[in-house]
Amino acid sequence: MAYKCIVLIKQVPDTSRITGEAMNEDGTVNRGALPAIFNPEDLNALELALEIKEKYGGSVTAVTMGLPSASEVLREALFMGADDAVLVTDRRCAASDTLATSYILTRAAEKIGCDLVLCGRQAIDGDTAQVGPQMAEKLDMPQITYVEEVHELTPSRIVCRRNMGNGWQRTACKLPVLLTVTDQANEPRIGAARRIMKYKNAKTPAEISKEGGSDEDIREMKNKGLLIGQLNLDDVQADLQWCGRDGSPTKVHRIMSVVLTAKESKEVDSSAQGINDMVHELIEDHTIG
Amino acid sequence: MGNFFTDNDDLRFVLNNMDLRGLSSLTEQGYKFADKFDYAPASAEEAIQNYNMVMESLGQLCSDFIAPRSEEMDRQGNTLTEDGRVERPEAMDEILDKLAKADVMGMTLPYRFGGLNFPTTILSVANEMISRADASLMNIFGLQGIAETINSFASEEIKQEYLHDLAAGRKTGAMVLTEPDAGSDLQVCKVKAFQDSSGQWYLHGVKRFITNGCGEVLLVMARSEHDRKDGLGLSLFVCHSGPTVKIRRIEDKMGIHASPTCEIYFDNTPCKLIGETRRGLVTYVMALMNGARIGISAQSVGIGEAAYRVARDYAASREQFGGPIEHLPAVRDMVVEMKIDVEESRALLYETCRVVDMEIGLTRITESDDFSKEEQKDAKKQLRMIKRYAAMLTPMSKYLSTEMSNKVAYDSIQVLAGSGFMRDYPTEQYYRDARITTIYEGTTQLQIVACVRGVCNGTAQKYIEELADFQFDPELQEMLDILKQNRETMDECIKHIKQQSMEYMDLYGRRIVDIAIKIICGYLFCRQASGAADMEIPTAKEGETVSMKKRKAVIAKRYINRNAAVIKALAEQILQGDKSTFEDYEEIAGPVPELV
Amino acid sequence: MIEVNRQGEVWVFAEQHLGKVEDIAFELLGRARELADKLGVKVGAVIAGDSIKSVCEELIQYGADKVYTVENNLLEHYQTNSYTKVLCALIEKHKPQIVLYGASPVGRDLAPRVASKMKAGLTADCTDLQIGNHEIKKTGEKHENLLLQIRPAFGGNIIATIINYDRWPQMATVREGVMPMPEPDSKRKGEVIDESVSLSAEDLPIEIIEEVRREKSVNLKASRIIVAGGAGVGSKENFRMIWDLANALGGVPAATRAAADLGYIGKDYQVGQTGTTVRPSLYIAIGLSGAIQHQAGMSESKKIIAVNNDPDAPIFDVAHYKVCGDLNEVVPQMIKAVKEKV
Repeated sequence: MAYKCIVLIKQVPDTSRITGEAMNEDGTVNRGALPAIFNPEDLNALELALEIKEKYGGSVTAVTMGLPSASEVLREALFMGADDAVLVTDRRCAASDTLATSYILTRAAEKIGCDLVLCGRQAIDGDTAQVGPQMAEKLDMPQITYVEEVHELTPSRIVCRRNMGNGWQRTACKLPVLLTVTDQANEPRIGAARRIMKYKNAKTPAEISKEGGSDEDIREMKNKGLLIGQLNLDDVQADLQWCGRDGSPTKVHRIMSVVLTAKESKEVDSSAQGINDMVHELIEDHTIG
Repeated sequence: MGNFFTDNDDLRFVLNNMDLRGLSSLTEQGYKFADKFDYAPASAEEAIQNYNMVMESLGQLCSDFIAPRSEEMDRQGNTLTEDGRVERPEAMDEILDKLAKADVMGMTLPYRFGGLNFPTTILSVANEMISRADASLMNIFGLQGIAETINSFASEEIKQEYLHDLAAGRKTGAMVLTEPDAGSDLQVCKVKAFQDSSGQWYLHGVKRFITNGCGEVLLVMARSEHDRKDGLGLSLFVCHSGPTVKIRRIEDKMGIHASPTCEIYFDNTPCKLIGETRRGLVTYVMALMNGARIGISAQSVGIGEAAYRVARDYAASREQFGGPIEHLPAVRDMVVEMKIDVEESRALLYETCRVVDMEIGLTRITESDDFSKEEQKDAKKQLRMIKRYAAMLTPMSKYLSTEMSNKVAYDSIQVLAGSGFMRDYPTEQYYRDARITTIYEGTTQLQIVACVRGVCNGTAQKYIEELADFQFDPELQEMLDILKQNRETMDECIKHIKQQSMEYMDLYGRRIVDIAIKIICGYLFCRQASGAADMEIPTAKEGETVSMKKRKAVIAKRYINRNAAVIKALAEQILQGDKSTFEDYEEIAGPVPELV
Repeated sequence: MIEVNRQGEVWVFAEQHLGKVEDIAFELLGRARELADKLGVKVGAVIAGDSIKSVCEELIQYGADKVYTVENNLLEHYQTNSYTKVLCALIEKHKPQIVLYGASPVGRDLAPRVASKMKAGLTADCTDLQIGNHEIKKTGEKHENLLLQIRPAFGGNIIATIINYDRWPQMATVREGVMPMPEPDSKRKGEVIDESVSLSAEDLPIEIIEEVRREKSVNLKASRIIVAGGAGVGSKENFRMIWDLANALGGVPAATRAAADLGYIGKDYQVGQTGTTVRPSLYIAIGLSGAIQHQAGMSESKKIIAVNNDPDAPIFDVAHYKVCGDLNEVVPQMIKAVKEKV
């Protein structure tokens, strides 16, 4: 039996490196000032998919929704061992919240087809952990969240161990299924040298065109196995009312920065008043409370 | 997330200033492999991109996966089970699995066996980073030379049988040379190789101190000519581990705890002959050892780098007497010396790699049918000197780097003082791990013997002449003048030594080799300060940067100025010709003491 | 999704395990009560399970006006699909304007599934909820009395306030321990409403083979707030203060190596070079000088408060709030201030 796995990955700003300099004056984050990285738990999901492929056979397709530059994480997925990579990119995806994102990715997953969908438990930019379960609902699949190990896999049944925070569960269900994977699941491998040497040249059609390549060049890249798939909303037959801003029920009301600028510090009077003021300030900026 | 490649400015600077285009053109033989293998580079740009990308990827594994497991592996060590299996620390198995999946266990092997066809230079970068993360691991990772030896000298049948598995990391190997009575003096090896009536070879006897002797592929030196007691009676064999290969014990060592050191008993083990009989030691093992020496040199640079970093960090953050201890002159001086020591060894290491890669590349040209007679003739001509340079620089680099790693690890503990002596910090492990480097793959004393002839027979002078022939930055003129005087001093010493006996040359070998190294590295620093590829790097002052070339000019100045006096002192000792070591040994050493 | 419904109730999904309601549900009821009072609507608690009747009264005591119960032996164990079906059926029937879930493993598994099925908005992991107005700058369109869903994002570096003004219900998961637990009022009256949702085997695609729950052991890395004591705390008894402050803040206690070595607290709680490395939102360092070895394990915390009577203690070099004074006075005052304000 060969299992077709889709792994959903996301390119995220490296929030662990945020300093005062990465904040705009209005309190929003200057994404450009942060390195873009492969979302850490998506690496765990990809590793798990690759282990499944090595143990049980099948294929792994990495899928991401994002800007054209998100092709970078897809190349990394190819370095690690993904068989295919697909970029879902469209200006009309902009401002999608988790619900709209899950809709668009569901359309893409349905077009590609799969037995298993894997994704990281959550992404470090939003920490919402919502897109996975939201997709599972739309795909009409059961979901197993917080997976840390796959114990057993047959064409009709998967058994996983889930990390429940205050304990664990061993659960089983039929395929197809969607798994969200935690960083406890494994230690992701690094890119394989021979794959790096080959797939460093992999590109999306948009990237080839941007460099002045013709349709002929795109075909040639495809023949060499170096073409990264690219889908827009029309390709996945998405209903635009569920995409982008229109498809997103949640909106941003306000953003506030809480990063202290370098070495900003205060002497606090050890009197009752001093302590009260400090506690009050920490409640104000949501550090506590 | 860290990265042992991208965080190492000196390493990248040295690499950027090497002629990687020329190097890749040699190893890729004109990029002819691109047609056959979809991952082989089609141009120099692509080859260099490959080197950088693979090293960056490995650098991340070293920093984020391997280094954090080093302490645990050091504590666990290896154990020998009752049924004779060696159990590695769990983390070691995980790491080897990750390395295998990363395709880096056959870095220098040809593409057709699944290798990456990388030059020795790049393997050394990998060895350096791996060792910085965990010195023990390098002893297994760095055994890629075994596959290289098979590739260079064995039959196609043997290559097919072994190389695919080694390149894929499915199997690891061991160089099985040392015996209880044959350490530095390998020509007295006793393990017997014999043939049955069908011509099948077998091995019988005991080998000792075998790094990773529990590996699956064993390259064994054994006596095939039973009537000859010398090195010409030895041949090289390869065999698989199996029931007739018994691990009798594993050593309880001072350092590199995670690297298993085994005693092996071969109980009539079937094996295959590599190449021809009688060439085992003189040709094959010599080649193997040269590669291994470069590996240990890289291992030492990695340990030195790791030890320096901990000391540097501590010196900046530990406060005593009202400020960070790096403000104290004595500590400050130690930090600077350590840093320059590491960069000195690295400069010589990669220069050695460059020459060795030239040697390998040119040798391939002379052996390949793809090149014209004219080209082959040209290659042969170049090879003559290159071979002599490689033979001198390899032991020189091994000597310099391994002694450096011991000194830097020692000083690192000194900077951390009490804390450095405690197991809370990694410095004591670096110190224990460094200690073996001046011993295995030939002791420091043997390295000196191996290179002192090159220093005294004109090779060094010729080589230095080539080094000096470079478009140096005019600002360095004063330094170049000093180096020129140093060379005259060296010439004088060599002349004096040659007038004495061979014994005298060995007695003063280390001193004359030191002089040669200080001159060579002085030129290498000057070359770095005049190199084509520069980069801006941060200085210790927050927010300030400096050009790497300018920094290297500063280092060259300090290095050459300070060493001028050292060279003078060494020369005086050589010329003075004190022979009390020979003449007064009995009086000074006294009787052999009784050990209670 | 349901239409905007200003009369809709404020709901809390009452998570229970083996008939015992989880603390997070009571925490949510406390805040739901405040929100509902502001909006002039009722608070509803939704509870599903096998035998759950006995806990309805408890939910009322903590602030629910109505308890919607769905009792069915198929609901004995939480399962994504069956619970999703129950929640969606009740939401469609009663059209609440707000639905709150705990950001627990269960809540974060369930809420997005419900949101997806309802095509409604959901904000994850909120640390605060308020009622407020929103104006769309471009059109001048005004929306009043919305649920302001306040949450940290970008690794805790920003605080975002999220709203949902058209596709209701307004839903959020709320981090455990950030909202104060209300005092139960045994005199409160409320209504228990039995609901039934038909379920079949198809709604239970998951088989739970084995389950192990353990008392929460210390997880310093995952803690947003850490209160660390050093040898300066003085004694094991005195270390009780560290626990009290940590409890008041919903954080966890920790210690330096010296304090752990003195037996004030277990080794699991040790932060530093040889202990755990942490980077919480708030690190309160009490009676510890801040040796490099300790700083190595905590200097990347978002905010650091240091309490020490030595003005030259190195810990002050990395602290954002420097309290120079006697910890025996400062810490009780902090506990008092936190209890009053939060």
